[in-house]
Amino acid sequence: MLVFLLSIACPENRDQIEEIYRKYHIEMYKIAKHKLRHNPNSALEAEEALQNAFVKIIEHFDSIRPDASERALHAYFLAIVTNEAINILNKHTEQISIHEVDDILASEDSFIDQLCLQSDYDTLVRAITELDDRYSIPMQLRFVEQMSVAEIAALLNMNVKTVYTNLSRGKKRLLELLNERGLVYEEDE
Amino acid sequence: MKKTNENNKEIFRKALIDARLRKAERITEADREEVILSDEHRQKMHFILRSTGRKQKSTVKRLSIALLATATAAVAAIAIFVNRENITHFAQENIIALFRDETSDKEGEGTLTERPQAFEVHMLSYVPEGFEVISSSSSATSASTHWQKPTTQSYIIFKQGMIGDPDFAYDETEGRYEEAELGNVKIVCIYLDDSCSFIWSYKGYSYKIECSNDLPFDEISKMIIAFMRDNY
Repeated sequence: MLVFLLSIACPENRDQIEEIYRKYHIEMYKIAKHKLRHNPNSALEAEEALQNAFVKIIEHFDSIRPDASERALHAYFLAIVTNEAINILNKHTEQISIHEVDDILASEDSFIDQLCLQSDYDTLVRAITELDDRYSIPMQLRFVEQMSVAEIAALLNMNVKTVYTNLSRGKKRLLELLNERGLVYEEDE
Repeated sequence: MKKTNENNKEIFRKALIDARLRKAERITEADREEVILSDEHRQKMHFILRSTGRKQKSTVKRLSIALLATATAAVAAIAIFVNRENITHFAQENIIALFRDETSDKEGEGTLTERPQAFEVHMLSYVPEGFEVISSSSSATSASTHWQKPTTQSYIIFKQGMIGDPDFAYDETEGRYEEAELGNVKIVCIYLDDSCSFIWSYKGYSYKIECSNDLPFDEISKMIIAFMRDNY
């Protein structure tokens, strides 16, 4: 764990980061512990996820949008710690190689229009909560934090191709979830 | 009514945020257990949160470092002609003066002026598993211990000296240079191709941990944290 070297923050950000820790660390710990609940050392690994999450938050502090709302920031911190817990989980499971690359960025606008025009808001939120975190986290960073794919890859410790693939799969899975409720028609290919 | 694409984007953003918070709320509401975090976690988080990052050095500071290097070289050259006791005195006075100019704004008065009456040897209280002491030495003004992992190239050298000892001078242009802070102690980190060094000063002493690059960073941080916990 890169506790020592990656702990980089401008001194002026330090107080803000400490405040974030004070405010959210218990919730972040619980989220990580829940994600790692099937591992025998879930408590220790949840602490590790929390530490790694803060290293990431500190490292990428400057990429947080200055106009981000309190709720968006809250959701961002939860996404980061969830991803760190997933990274720890992935250490225990065999990685599946992914070779799909989609034209996700080109079709982003039509995808969003399709979702929003054909489903009500509450159903959309419920469908997103059912989406696997592997897909919903890159989606959140892409659409809420407006990060580039390269920035997401750096933040989540993924390669760029995996981010593209997870965005693409997330998009398809979200449409499937809404389709199951009969609310969205098949995407025009 | 047909919504604009911008509106839809905003709705989708809001949905993503709400979904994340709703999911978290479900988990935290179901988990009413009191959270007790380990001491090790607290130490690590303290280190993470109190660390300051890479700082761009001013030209003045770069010059001070260059002067320090020059002074050290000058001391070495003069050493040929005069006796050792005088040289030590000359080196300490001049190099301490340079250090004082450069760092007095950061390290506080106490750190540089509190020179110990007698040299007290401090030791690392934690060394990663598998390392064995291969040499150790001490004098009236310095101490050093060298560990090696048998059959590998992994090593750790821990040095302690008086503030102003040229052994603890560093060239920030060599390798990668960073600064971290633990408590109120500034730690200079220098990363070379095959080794890394961590240098700090406290209460009249300078300390340096030099180790091979294959040593994990969490082990290095454990060594420093344990040292400070047990000695300060």
